[in-house]
Amino acid sequence: MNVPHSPALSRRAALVAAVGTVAVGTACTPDPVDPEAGGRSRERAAEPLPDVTLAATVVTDEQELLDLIDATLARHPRLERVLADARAAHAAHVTLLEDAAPESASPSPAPTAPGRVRVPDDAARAVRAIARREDELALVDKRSAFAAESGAFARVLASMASSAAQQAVVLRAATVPAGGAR
Amino acid sequence: MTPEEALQTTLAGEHAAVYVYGVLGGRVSASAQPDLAAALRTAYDLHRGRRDQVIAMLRAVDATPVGSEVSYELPNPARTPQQCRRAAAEIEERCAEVYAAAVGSTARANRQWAIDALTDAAVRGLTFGAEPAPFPGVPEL
Repeated sequence: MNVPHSPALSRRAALVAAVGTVAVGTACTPDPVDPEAGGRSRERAAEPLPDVTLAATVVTDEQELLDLIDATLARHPRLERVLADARAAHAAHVTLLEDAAPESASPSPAPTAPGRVRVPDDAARAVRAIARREDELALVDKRSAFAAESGAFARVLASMASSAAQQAVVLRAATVPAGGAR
Repeated sequence: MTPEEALQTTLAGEHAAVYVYGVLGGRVSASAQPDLAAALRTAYDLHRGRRDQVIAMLRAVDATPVGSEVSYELPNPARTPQQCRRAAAEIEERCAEVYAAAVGSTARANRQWAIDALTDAAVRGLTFGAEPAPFPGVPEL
């Protein structure tokens, strides 16, 4: 990624502003959305804000999947290439969510302690288990995108759902290198 | 972008996708490339269905749906099966961007439609050789 002033960085900053704006509670929806949408009134701004709650849920689920991938890699190092894309995608999701809605990350979704994540002894089964979690995460991300008040945030959440759905497909089609667990 | 503008942009994208898939389908031999031909046919049918759904969504809000152009530029010459495959992947990528924008500009049922369409385009792109991405449909990330 390029350094400052790159379009990517400034658009990313815009997203951070969009979700961050919701997080600090100012009444501003970045994209015009059907005025009847959501059914939540801005008069309730003093309550925990819906998009902050959503971001907290999604970042926790994204981090859990990342932890599962890391635990799987620790047990089956030969899966490094098979899982590289999925790991990179979910790491990017977690980074963006934490940048965009820092309040949602407190308490921070600390990585799950190694050993608490169960990983199958068989590498192929371990990959299929991750694919199932990708499907589940895609559903969480889709529901969150549907519920988000910020249009900019909804767009990114829907994109994350699509990324998880892609990884589920890719992992199910992956050729798993032969061999047992470490 | 207003919800109506987002749907009109989506419809314009569907018109283009239907046209391009129609051309690609005519250039791939069902006997020589049965899998590719079937995938193109499925995508053609799907985008026709989506086009009709978006037209209905626009009519539901008393908007006049945009019409299609006479023709559209193909993403590449589409003379070989490989080029046809790449062109299809490119169309799905463009559609994913349009659907993602629609997610951000609509709500409720129309947003749900756009979320499902985005996920489908991202996964369908893989069928045509696209690489998975961390943020499908959101190029600036």
